[in-house]
This record gives sequence, structure tokens and C-alpha cells, in this order.
Amino acid sequence: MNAATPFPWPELAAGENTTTTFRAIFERAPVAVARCNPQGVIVEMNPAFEQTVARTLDRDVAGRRWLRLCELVRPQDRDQTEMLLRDLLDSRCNSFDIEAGGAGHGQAISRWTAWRQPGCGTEPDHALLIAPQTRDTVPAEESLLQTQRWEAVGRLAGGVVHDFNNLLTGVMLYCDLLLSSLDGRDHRRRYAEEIRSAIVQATGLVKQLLVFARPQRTPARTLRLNEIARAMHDLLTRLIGENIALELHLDPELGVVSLGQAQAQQVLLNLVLNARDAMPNGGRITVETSNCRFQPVAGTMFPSHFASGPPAFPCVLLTVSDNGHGMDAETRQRLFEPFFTTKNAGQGTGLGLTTVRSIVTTNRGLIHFESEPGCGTRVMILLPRASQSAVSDLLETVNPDSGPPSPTPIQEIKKESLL
Amino acid sequence: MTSAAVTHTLATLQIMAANFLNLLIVDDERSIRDACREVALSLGFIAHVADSAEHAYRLLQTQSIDAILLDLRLPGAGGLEALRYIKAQRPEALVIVVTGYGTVQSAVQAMKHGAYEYVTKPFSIDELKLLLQRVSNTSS
Repeated sequence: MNAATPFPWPELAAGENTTTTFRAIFERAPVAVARCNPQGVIVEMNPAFEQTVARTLDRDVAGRRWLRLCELVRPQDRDQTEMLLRDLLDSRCNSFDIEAGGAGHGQAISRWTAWRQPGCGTEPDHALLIAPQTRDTVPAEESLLQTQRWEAVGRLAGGVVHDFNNLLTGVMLYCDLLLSSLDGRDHRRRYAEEIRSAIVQATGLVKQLLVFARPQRTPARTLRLNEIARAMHDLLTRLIGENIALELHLDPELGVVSLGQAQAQQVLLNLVLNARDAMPNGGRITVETSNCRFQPVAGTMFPSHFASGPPAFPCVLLTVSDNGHGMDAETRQRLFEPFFTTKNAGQGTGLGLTTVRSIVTTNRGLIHFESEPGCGTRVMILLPRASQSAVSDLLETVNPDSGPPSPTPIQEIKKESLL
Repeated sequence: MTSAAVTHTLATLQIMAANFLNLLIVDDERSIRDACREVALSLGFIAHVADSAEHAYRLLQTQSIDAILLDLRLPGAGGLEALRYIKAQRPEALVIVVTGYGTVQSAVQAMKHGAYEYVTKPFSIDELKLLLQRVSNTSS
């Protein structure tokens, strides 16, 4: 902004309480703001700050109404931070930057800037800490690295799956031979049947690994997600149990998508079961379908040959939401990581969402999560409408079969992009 | 036993052998080869085993093979290449391809190259028996 042009600040209405106004601004600011006293204690923080701190610090620390500035930084940076704070409050410098959140928790590091805030009257000077909110801001290159890492794991898994499958075949055949050689009343049949049931489970795991390791583009076949959702309603209701209500809000005018039936079922099943697991004390799962148009962000996903910006695509949106316990930043960041699970040992393979992502992106779709601890989770899956060949061609550019996959599926689908 | 009796026994055995189907099992995993061999024997097949495509080619030169259980992923020459070679050498042989990836594509490819049937790993004895019985019915 030109310094000569005064910003058109609105006149405060007569009688309006400026303290209340600025308090409201402080409370609702989308950036994290906090005040730190000369002893290095953060004495005031806004909700955005609390939210950021909750993501970067252990729960017990974040649960307090105050914390020390040093708790925000890595142990090795604490002395330097204290020194910088002293320099700031003694007017030896006007501001300093610190990096917070890298204290071995594996979370993203956020950069904080501290300014000196002159005290009023007898109050000593304070440090004002400001940081942009770090929600879901994984740098693009980090996201690409992550995608490449998953791809490598996928290739590795593909190789292992072949050998594992071979071994499994031998075990299954010999188990069947053993069963056929045992008399019907032989008590050892039970042992062999236990082995067989484990083999069947392992076979399921292998199949799931295969979907992730070698995603298959399904033969061109169109289906209606509404029909899949309706057909699965009874099964899903049984699986989620009595404490959880399953609601279907299906758009009767929903367009068709090009997706394998088994794949669509797998996506819905995985998302609903994850939602169930997020609500151990019951709740509500909503499956919603609607038509929408997806407007890609200009210059990020598409080549520059769209002079007037990339066109909007007609898409089908599938949303699965729950009012369960939600996810913290670390979980959100690792959602699609193969073998990452928040479930107890033996209850989750850590492949469910990896598989969902693989199916969605292989079919030129996008997937996006919205979740906060305690606020439930909303999963949005966007698939191109099948009748639009132009859409397919264009989305082919986004998710090409060969070459490194675009990091866009998680990053680019933002609420404002959905028209 | 007299020499006449021996000759008669041999002749009977030859007639019996002529009624048995020769199955060649090609898989690089020993446990799978052996288990399949056992199942094939129980169904009255004469079973031969090979651990590579090259080994299978050698057996095709010396044995009268009616049916082949062929793993599509083999060391050396790949399974599809082996299938093409086998069908060129023995067009009448019934080939069941075994696919480890369970992909429709590889099975479709194999069927295009003349495979009789396909089965996905891991398969059960019941599946294998069913396939071998179909081979048996087709060949007789």
C-alpha cells in the first residue's frame, strides 16, 4: 500500500467501546496472537494461538491457560529465546523470530515473530507474539516428497505382496490337504481350520495391499453413487452398530461417475468404518451426494495454455461426515500414509485410507479431509462426471498415469474451490 | 512271473497310462508345485513339475503333455512369453494360468494368447480340483 494514501479506517460510532471492539478482533483473528510478560510467561492468547499451540505441544501443556514461551521452542533453542526476549524488552532489538513446534513431536514447525509492545502506565513492556495459523499448510515440496515416499512404499509392497502371495498359496494348499486328510471327528481339524481362517484374513490383506500398490484403472463403466450407497445401507447399518445413526442425503439428480463397483463399495465402506471407529460412544454418520463444479486454482494444476484460467469441471461430490472425536494435526498429516493407524494393534491395517486415496486418484478424483479434535470429520471426494469427456481429458493432466503424481489431491481442493 | 505275463502287465499299464492325462506344473515355488502335484495325482493325472520356463520347455520336448498349470510370473522368461511358446509348440495343450497379482488385465492377456482358464493366487484345493476336473472333461 502506498504510504501516502491513508487507509480508510471507519469512524468509530459514538459511544462504541474501543476495548470491546479490539477484544473481538483479537479473539476472532485468524492469526495466532499472544502476549508474553518480561518473565517469559505467555499471559494472554487468542483462540487461534491456543489452536496452534494445541497442535504443537503436548496436551497437558496445551490444556493450561498459560505457558512459558520456552515451552514453545525446541530445548536447544530455549537459552537463545530467553536471551532474545531480554534483548527485545531492553530495546536492544525491535523484533525476533523463533521456530516453534519442533520439540520432537514430529509436527510441523511454525515460525513466530515477537515484537515489543510498550506497557501502559506502570505496566512493563510485553512481547507480542504473532504467527500465521499453520492449519493444513504442508509445503508443496514436502507433500510431493510424501507422495514419492508412498509411491516407494507402494512399489516395495508390490514386490513383497508377490512373494507373500506365493507363500500364502503354499500354506493354503497344504492346509487344505491337511484338512482333507483328517477325519471329521478329529480334534486337530479345529487347529487346521484356525490356520485356514488366518490365511483367509491374510488373503484379504494382500488384496488390499494390491489395490494400493498397483492401483488399477477400472474399465470404462459408469455407475451411480446413490445406488451404491442405497445398496450398502443395510450392511453399513449392521456394521456400525446400534449406537450410531447412518443418514443418507442423496441428490436424486446425481450425475454418473466412471468407477468400478467394487471400488466404490470399498471407498464407502472404508470411510464409514473409519467414522464408526471415531465414535466409540455413538453418534451420527452422514453420507451425502451432490452435483457440483470444481474450479481448479489457476496456475497450480494446469498448464498455462488456458489463457483465461482453467475451466470448471462438472463433478460428483461424495461427502462422509461424522460427529466423532476428530483428528489432530499429526493424524491429518499422516492420514494417507501406508500402515499408519490410530486404531489398536490388530484392529486396523493402516491401509484403509491409503486404498481410498489410491482408488480416488486413479479414477482422476480428488479427496479432501476437514477435521479438528472434538469437532468430527468430513471427507469430501470429488469425481469427474462420466458424461463429460472433456473433463476426463483435462483431469488426465492433473493425475497422469505416468510420472510423479501431482500433490494436488489433498492440497488443492479447498472449500472455496467448490462452486 | 513269466515273460508273457510281464508283457501283458506292461501292455495293460500302457493302456492305463494312455487314459491318464499328463499335467505339467510350472511354478518357481516348491511348496506350490508339490501341493499341486499331490492334488493332481489324487485326481488321476500324471504330474510333471518344472521350476522355470526353460525347464518346462525341456519337458515339453520329451513328454506328452496334455495340460499345463502355468505361473504367469516366472524367473527367466516371463509367464506370458512361456504361454506363447507353449501354445506354438503344443496348440492342443490346455493351459491354466496362475496369476499372482489377481489383475483382470494379465488374465485377459493370457486368455488372448490362448489360455484355457486362469486362477488367482492364493487358490484353494477346491478351486484347483474344479479346474483340473474341467481339464479332464474337456480332454476326454
